[in-house]
Amino acid sequence: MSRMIVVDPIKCTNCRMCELACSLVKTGAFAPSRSRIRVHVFAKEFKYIPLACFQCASAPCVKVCPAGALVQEDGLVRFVKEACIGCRMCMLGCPFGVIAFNSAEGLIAKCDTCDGDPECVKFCTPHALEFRESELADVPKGRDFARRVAEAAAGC
Amino acid sequence: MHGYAGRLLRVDLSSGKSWVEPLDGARARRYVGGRGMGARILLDEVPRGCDPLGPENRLVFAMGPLAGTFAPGSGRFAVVAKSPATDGFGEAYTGGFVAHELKYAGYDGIVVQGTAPELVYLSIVNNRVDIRPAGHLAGRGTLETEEAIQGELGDRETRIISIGLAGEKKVRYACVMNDTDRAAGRTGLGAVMGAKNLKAIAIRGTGRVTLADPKGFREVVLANLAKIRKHPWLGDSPSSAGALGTAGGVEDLSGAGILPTRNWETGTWEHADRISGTAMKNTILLGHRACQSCPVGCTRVVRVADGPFGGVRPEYGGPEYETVAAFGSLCENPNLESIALLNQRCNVYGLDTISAGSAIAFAMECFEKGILTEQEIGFRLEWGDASAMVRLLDMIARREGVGDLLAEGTRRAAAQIGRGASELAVEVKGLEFGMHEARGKKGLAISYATAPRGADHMEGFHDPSLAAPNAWPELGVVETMDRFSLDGKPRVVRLAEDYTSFINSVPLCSFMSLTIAGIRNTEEISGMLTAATGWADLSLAEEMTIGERAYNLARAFTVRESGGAADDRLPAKLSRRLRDGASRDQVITDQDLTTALQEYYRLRGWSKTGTPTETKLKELGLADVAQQLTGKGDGR
Repeated sequence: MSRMIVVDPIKCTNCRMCELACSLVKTGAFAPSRSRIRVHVFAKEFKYIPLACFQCASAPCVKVCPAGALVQEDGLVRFVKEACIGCRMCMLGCPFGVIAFNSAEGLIAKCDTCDGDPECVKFCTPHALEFRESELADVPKGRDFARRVAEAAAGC
Repeated sequence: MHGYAGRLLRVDLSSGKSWVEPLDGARARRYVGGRGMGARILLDEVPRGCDPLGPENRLVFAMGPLAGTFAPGSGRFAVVAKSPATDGFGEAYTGGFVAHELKYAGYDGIVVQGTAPELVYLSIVNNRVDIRPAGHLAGRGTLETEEAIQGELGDRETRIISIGLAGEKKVRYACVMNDTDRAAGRTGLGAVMGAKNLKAIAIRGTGRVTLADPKGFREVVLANLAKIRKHPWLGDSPSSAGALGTAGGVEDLSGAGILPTRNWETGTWEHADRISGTAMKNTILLGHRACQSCPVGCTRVVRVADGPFGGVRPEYGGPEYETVAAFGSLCENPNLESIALLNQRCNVYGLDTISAGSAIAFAMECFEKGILTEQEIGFRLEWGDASAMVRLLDMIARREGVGDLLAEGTRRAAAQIGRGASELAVEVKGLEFGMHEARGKKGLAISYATAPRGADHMEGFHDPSLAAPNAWPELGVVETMDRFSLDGKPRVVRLAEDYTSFINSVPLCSFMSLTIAGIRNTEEISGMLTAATGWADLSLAEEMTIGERAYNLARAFTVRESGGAADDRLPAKLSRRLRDGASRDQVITDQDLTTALQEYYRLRGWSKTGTPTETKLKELGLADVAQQLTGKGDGR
């Protein structure tokens, strides 16, 4: 079974620790502009949505990459740095805008779940990010919904 | 230079020029950042007796070596200038996201001098610095200003420091605002920014912050986070700061008789439960959010859609404890929705909620006692009349009618009114009290009386923390102490102030570094600084010296500007008995205070009138400051 980073936007407090943890582990310094995970802010709606690569099962970025630099492997979309030609087609192909471009290196950057041990999750104190088995990813959400049904039924 | 960007941005608004100044490494370790950096610049560059609202005043935005990192509570910076409220050392701290962004742009701080010929804003995008016209933003509120500038610069990730109408009108307790609802609240620094014709500073940085020991830094931050989350008030408990905000303890404060009520007549209030964090959670609260790199998120987010106090939007956050008390119990106003609206208006106008609430409470008591009449105010100003409060707040921000008088702060307003009004003004050196009752926690009175910026609730400690033993064993604070007594307090006040002054020089959020009866994370804090900067052998003793040095710098500035007499006294109300509740009949007499202050001055190495002595200043490596205090140097 593969695992994925599951986001619960209701819990996100916009502290941005995930972006810093990511940039530190990936670049050796703090630079949110280089983070593979990004928190998108909707102040009026009071919503904060962290987004990183969803490791799509049928990934558009893999399909459009002309250099074979993105490959599907063990439930991950793996980036093969050596093969990347810096054309950015994957950024156009990605429906979620979660692939970044590092102009200094002329390469794209995307989440690789830190090889199955994501750093961002360790620094997410409100637990808005969790790393879970893909097959079980929606169980808590399902249970939350079921609880509401149960509470409504109990109120009858 | 790890941790630091290694550069200060200098801006002269009179000439329209800006330049970069390298940061000296040895100086960095002596002053660190925040307060230390800001106070040093004021003493070096602000001429004695300078008009705080004139071009010679400096307005310093001081970050430090942890800004830009994931150190818990590092999303913080200091704003420092000569204060138009006290004419002494002015400073305020704020959270949000600006501190990190400025580091990514490549600066440890900004020093603004001069006055722009017309309203401008400063745009900083990495190395590019522009002064741009801001006439079209005149009078605009915080969020409107931010959205307009982000639109003009074409980047919605731009972080913004700004002032609202109150700063432009030079209200003496106008704030410097940032990130919509964060405020460098105290001592009127928004008026300094307004006097410089500087509407805003827009910051965007895409660079990075490097560390001396990235691996070690990561480890010590994880250890620190674990400790912080274990603290009952900073973890996941239902009564934590995250769950209930800083107003979670309002009922307890009332129970202990230390909730400022009815302009400091009593410390207990029957309606405390209507304005508390729990009441907020059960009514108008949408949730909470955090400043950059904070594991707690004490910021409230509230909404009041309609009704008499409607129009309260989540973008402006929500009221924290000081605001709830200042607009609630202090004015005997139990209407939480009105408090949320008053909070929002303060954020829009850029007004300090503490001093604004205090000014309104003062005016209410003046009205009650016939010192200010209905004719002078324009309407009746009864205790608890929330609609009248909103009306008066608008008048203060616009400096209309009696609002113009109250915009001067309670000390100046009382002096102008006469008729005994000064007896009702609760301030020290011109700064209104934080919402903490010193008659019920007497150690705080020492800080209120002596702190460089006036009646300061953030410098020392709050006595209930000493109810249990071993509050701070690292520095030998092990005994329990009675909150109603001044015995033994000067020593603990001094220790707490020096450590706080070190924290303010990093700077870190006070909650992530709770000192007395706190998180016990002094080692982790040293560890973070060491791993970030590579400073060898940094010890708690050196940190206490850094704090003491910064404290003495700030104190020296206030003493220098006041002409030598430090004005360390408490307002008349503190010698009057609290009316009822668990702190009933408590007073602080002049005699009690004088005895405590002499002990405190002696421990600090200050003269009998509270001036830092030459010996003490030399010991701290501040011989040049001693010269300034003897009148030889004028700061330049």
